[in-house]
This record gives sequence, structure tokens and C-alpha cells, in this order.
Amino acid sequence: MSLVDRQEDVKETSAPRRTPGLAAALPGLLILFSIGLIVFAERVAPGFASASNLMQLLKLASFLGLVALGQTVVMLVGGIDLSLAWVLTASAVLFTSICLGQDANLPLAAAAAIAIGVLSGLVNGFGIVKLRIAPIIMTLAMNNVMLGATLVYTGGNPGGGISPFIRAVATGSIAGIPWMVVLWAVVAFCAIVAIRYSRWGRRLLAVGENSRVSFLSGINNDAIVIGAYVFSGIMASVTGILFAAFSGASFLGMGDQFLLPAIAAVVLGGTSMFGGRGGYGGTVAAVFFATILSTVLVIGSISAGMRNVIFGVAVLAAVIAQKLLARGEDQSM
Amino acid sequence: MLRLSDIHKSYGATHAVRSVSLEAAPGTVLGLVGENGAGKSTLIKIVSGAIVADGGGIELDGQAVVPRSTRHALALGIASVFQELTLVRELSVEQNLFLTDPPVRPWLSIDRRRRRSVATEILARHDLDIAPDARVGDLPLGRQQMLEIIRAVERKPRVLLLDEASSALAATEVDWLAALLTKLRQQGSIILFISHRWDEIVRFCNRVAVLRNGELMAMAETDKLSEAEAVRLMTGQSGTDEAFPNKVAVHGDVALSARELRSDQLAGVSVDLRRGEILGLGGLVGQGQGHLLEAFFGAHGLSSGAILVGELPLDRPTPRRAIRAGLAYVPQERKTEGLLLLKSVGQNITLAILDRLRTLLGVIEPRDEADLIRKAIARAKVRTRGGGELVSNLSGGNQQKVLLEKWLLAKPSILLLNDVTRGVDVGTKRQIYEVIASIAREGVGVIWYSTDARELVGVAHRVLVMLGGRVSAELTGAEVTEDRIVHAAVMGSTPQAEVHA
Repeated sequence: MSLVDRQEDVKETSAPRRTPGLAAALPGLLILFSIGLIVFAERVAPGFASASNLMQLLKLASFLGLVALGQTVVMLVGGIDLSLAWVLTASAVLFTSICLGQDANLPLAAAAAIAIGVLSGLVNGFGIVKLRIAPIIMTLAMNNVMLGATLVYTGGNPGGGISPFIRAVATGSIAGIPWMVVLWAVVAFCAIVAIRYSRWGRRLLAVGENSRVSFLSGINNDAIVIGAYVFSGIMASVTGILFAAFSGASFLGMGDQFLLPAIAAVVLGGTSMFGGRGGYGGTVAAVFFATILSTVLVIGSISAGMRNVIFGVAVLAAVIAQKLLARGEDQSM
Repeated sequence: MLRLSDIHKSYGATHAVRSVSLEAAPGTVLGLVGENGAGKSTLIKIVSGAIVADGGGIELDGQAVVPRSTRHALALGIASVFQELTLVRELSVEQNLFLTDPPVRPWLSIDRRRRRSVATEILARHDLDIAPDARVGDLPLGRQQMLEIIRAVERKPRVLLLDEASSALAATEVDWLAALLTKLRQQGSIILFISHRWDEIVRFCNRVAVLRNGELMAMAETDKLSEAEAVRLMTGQSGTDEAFPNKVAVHGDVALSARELRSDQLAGVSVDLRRGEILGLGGLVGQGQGHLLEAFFGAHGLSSGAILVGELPLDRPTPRRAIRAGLAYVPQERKTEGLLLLKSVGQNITLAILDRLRTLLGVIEPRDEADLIRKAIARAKVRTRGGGELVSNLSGGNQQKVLLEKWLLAKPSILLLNDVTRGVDVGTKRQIYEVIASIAREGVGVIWYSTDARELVGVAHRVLVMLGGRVSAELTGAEVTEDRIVHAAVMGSTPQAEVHA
């Protein structure tokens, strides 16, 4: 049911187009591939397509989905955020070290962790907008700063603990639906609507497409771009908290596994790396696809090395397909 | 002898150069004059090899030549200098002089000592007081342009093309150029010279070719062509094929005033605009008109000066503040400054008024917006399938209507127009004239920069002609004629009284 809904969203975010739009259809295609994979996996390993298993898959996907939302917003303004890996880790580490397993400490711990995201986003945005540092350099440097700071802070051993409440959110369910899936669905709905239909979304896409036009239209470009990085930082922090809760503890390097998949998901989902075009619906579809593909590869008892090769090729193929489909449109610009 | 015969060049439906034939004997400095878009630069670029003609032939000393590139042209003995400098700013003067063919030792390493001595000799011979090891980017613009000219002359070309190559020269440097050209003439070179300054044409050229709309109007000895006659030839008898709406002067209070605006492009401009007035900005391209409009709108940094909207000062203007103060600015470059080509017609129309749309928790009320867009499309008669269509699907004229409507929807009290009818079909032009005239009647003050002098005559109550970042002439009422605008634009200062209409 949720699959069908999202497909609708995908069409919405990519419209309007010259023709129904082949490029717009790609996220839809990703959903079709995902369904194909599920059907295939069900035959290899009966029970794969069961509701409970699919819910577990969605729960796994939700963490990547949340980080990828921040990356989507940044890439819509034509930037990229490479710092999210260690912003995520640093936030998680700080969170557990303040929380110490007590629900009473939760508000302070969460606020402190999210402050890391806000602060790193502010610095990223400031460097990129005011000092005109290339986003890739600025955020890479920020990633290293966060890495170093985390090592210094923990001395190599993150401590503390998760409190029962946040643990329940990250791992529990309601009526068979994991809380994480509910949370992700709500966030996704809000994000898709906000990017497509809100003032903020219009400004975001305008700045991303052509900052001169948006400037001359009275849009505060700097605020929009800095805001995008702050938003991405917050999403990384929130994901860090939730992923630590899901894992039962924070650990060094826990964010690294999200960085490349998040970028891949955004691009795969049809958001232009040059900004101004795309949305979160496509990213959601791509996150599904990536999660299901990697799980199917695991079930297929394919060796880890081969899994990586197949996964990499699949992502590349999808990106190339997207380029080919979008070519006619790009030339007409 | 340089002979051009029946040269043609079109861009799409517009003929940039139409059947131009002309000759220049050795020892000739031929001046090319005409309004913007008359085809002077196109013609020079064809001879220089920068662009290739659609038809016609070039003959140099009896031999047919077809320059395929500027490099090829150089090999044929044709060197060119354009207004835009081609020097490498990061390199030294001597490195620039020998950029393509430095003196080398037998084992092909650059002979720096010889390069230094030859460069010093060249600079001395041309009376240029520049150190050979100075970085070009550190030199004043005039010196850079002189260096560029010298570099071309040192190739010993048969034909030297100077396209506004004197634009950055100060008065003494112009004297220097005069001496250089005299010397080249005596050596039997052929020089084609474009300048927007009539005094330079008179001083440097022994012959003049007048171009209009891509056609050669006249060839004459410079001393046989009067200023007034030249202006008449450049503009033609002002035909009025375009129907301009009646000018109704409803001049109210001062809507916008500027005092002594200065920047790197503006040299002290003061303007007063009244409510209901259409104030035209004229002059040659790039004399600061666009920058003046951008300055009002907060998109061009000022070093000093004050802007008042009504009674209120517009401090540290940004487009955002300017829009709040009631200004709207329609930029010249529709595709890069005006419209978001990846977005729909509707999203473009409401982009500047997002603040004023009805929203619920930041989400735009879709029916309200759709309604607004539908009305705007209907009012401007935009030919589109609807507000959801991609704006890049529309024709140029319809895109222009969308752009204009985007700003009319902001309900400005002051409208700044930057050459908004360029590249627009006649029907749409007429529609734009009517729309602007009608909002002016409602009390909106309009400042309208146009590269088309006839358009200014048709729409403006008053015209300011700009030259070199300042207002060189103000024309009001019956003075607003094409002749006078062009005269002030080309001759500088104020037009003389004896110019007949």
C-alpha cells in the first residue's frame, strides 16, 4: 500500500514536464525493480515477501532514508554534504555519553546531539556561501574535524548508553508496523509536500536552478543555502541518535556506511547534482531499491566482494539509465 | 587592396550583414560607423576569421581569401584587436608579447634574455613606458589595450582590424594611437576602425562607411561627410511601422530619485522619476544603463550615492528590500536572469510574490495560486497549454510576457525595464508597449532602457542618454527624436542645435 502511495509522490515531485517525462518515470522504475526483486527473493527464500519481513526491511531502510533527506535538500541547492558521516557519528557519541541510559537525560542529550548538526551545518553553509569554499572541500574538511573531535572526546572508546524510551522508538512496533517506519513515513510525507508545495521548497529549487534569477526575484539565497546545510546536519544528528538506539550503543565510524549510499540514493532518485531539479519522492524509491537489493544479495549467499561489485554496477546502471532518459530534456534547456 | 564583395551573414531570421561590398586601398584608415546592431562588428569579425560569412567573398591584394579562424587570418596577414582584451592577465608584458612564438635557443628552451631585449626594443619603438616584466593584470586598462594593439601591429599585418580598440584609452593614449595609425598608413597598411566616438573617426579615418541594419548606406571621404549627415544615414528617416500607444503624460510626485550614484560602472548619475512617467534610457550599449537599473534594484554595488523611493531612503539596497519598497526590475537576459527554465510557467509567475501568496503552515494554497496564474496568463495573452507547462517550451515572445507578468503581479510602483523587447516579435512588442503605457497611466513610474532609439521615441516622455557611466544628455518633449538620441549617444555631450529633425 505504501508502495503505491510513494509512486504517486514520485510522479508529483518530477512534474511538470514536456512529455509525461521518461526521467520522471525512473523512480517508478526503481519501485518496479524492487517489486521484481521481492518476487524473485520470495521464490528463492519463501517468507521474504511476508509483511513482517518487509516491515523489517523498511525499518532498516528508514535510517538511510532520513540521512538521505538531508542530502537531497543540499543537492537540490546544487551542493553536497560529505560531513554527514561523522556529524552522525559525533552526534550519536555525544548523545549516548550524556544520556547514560536514563530517560531523564534524554532531552538534554538529544538537544546536545542536534546542536552538533546545527553547528556543523551553520559552519558548512557559512564557509560555502560567505567564503565561497567549494561544498565538496568544505564538508570534507568538516567531516575530518568531526572525526578528530570525536576521537579526542572519546579517547577511542565511546561510552554511555541508550535510554529505554529511545530504544523503544528505534526498535519497537505498533500494530506490526515499526515505529521507525511510521516516523519515516510522516517525515517523508512532510518533506515531499514541503519541497513541492511550500514557499521554502520553491525558493530551494529556485536557488538551486539559477541563483541569479532567485536573487533578482527577492530571494535570500544565502539564507536558503545555509539553511539547507543546517537541515542536513540536523537530519544526520537525528539519524545518529536513532541509529545508536537501534544498535544499542554508539560506535566509531557508524556514520560511514551511510555516506555513499545516501549520495547514490539521491542521484538515483532523479535529483540533479547541479541542483534545482528533483525531490524526496525519488530518493525514497531509491532507498527502497538499494535496501532490497543488498538484502537479496545477502540471502542469495553471494560473497561479500561480489555483493559490492553487483551493488556498484546496479547503481551505475541506474544512473546511466537516468542520464540517457533525461538527455533529450537537458539538451532542450 | 582589400575588397569585400556581397558579404552576407544571418542569425536565424535576422540579417546581421546584408550584401555589403566595400574596398579599401593601401594607406586607408576606413571607419565603420552605425548604431548598435548595424552590423559593424559582424563585418569586422568576418574579415578577422572569428566568424564565417554565409555568402560573399574577400579579396586581399587580388587574391581571394577565406579566413577560417583568427589564427588563419593572421597567416593571411589580417590581425585584429577587439574591445575585449585577449592578454593573459597573470603573465608578464614580455610573455604576452611572445605568447605564441617566443624566441628559443636551438634546443627549444625559451631564450629569456633575447625575449627581454626584443620586448624592450618593441616597447621603446612604440613609445610605451611599460616595464617588460610587469604583470599585465597590474597595468591600467588603457595600457593593456595599447599593449594589445602593439602585439597585433608587431605581426606586420597587411590589414589591421580595430573593433572599439580605443574604448579604454585616455586622451593622451588616443594621441598615441593617432600617431601609430598615421605611421601604419604611411607604410601602406589597410586599417578598418570601429569606434563609437565620432571625433576619433574624424581624426583617424580618411574614409567612412556608414552601416544601418546590416546594409551599407554610404561610403565617403571623411571630410565630405558632416556629422548631421552621418547621423541621418545611421538612423534613416525615422519610419514608424510600429504602432506606439498614445503618450499620456500624467506626471505626479517624484517616485524615485537618485543622487550622484557612483560605482565602477557609474560616474555620478542623478535621476528623478515621477509617478506616471516613462523615462527612457538611451545611448550605446554598455554605457552604464543596465548597471543604473541594477543599482536601483540593489543588484549592482554602489560606492556612493543615495536612492530615495518617494520620500524614503533605500539603504543598502538588495532586490529583496527593493521589492518591498515597491520596485520591480525586468532584466535583459531572459534565459539567465529572468526565468527558471526548468520550472513551469506558473512557478515562474509567482516566484517574486511568494511572500504574498496565501499559505497554510508555509504550504501554498494551491487553488489561490492557480487562480492567480490563470488570470495572469489570460491578461497577458500568453500562448501556453496552462500554468503547468514548462516555461522553456514557450516561444521567446511568450516567455517575455511571462517574465513581464511575473513583475506586474508584484504590483510595483516603480518598474525598471532593461531592454525588454530585444529579440521579441513585432506583435508581442506592440502588446508590451500597450501594457507599459497603461500601467504608467495608473501612476506607475517606469524607467525603460532600450537599445532601440526608435522605441524610446515611441514610448518615452523623457530620455536620458548615457555615455561612459554618466548622463550625457537629457531630452524632453519635442526634443525626443531618434536623431537627437543617436547624436547624443555617438557624439557625446549634448546634441548641437543645428541638427535637423
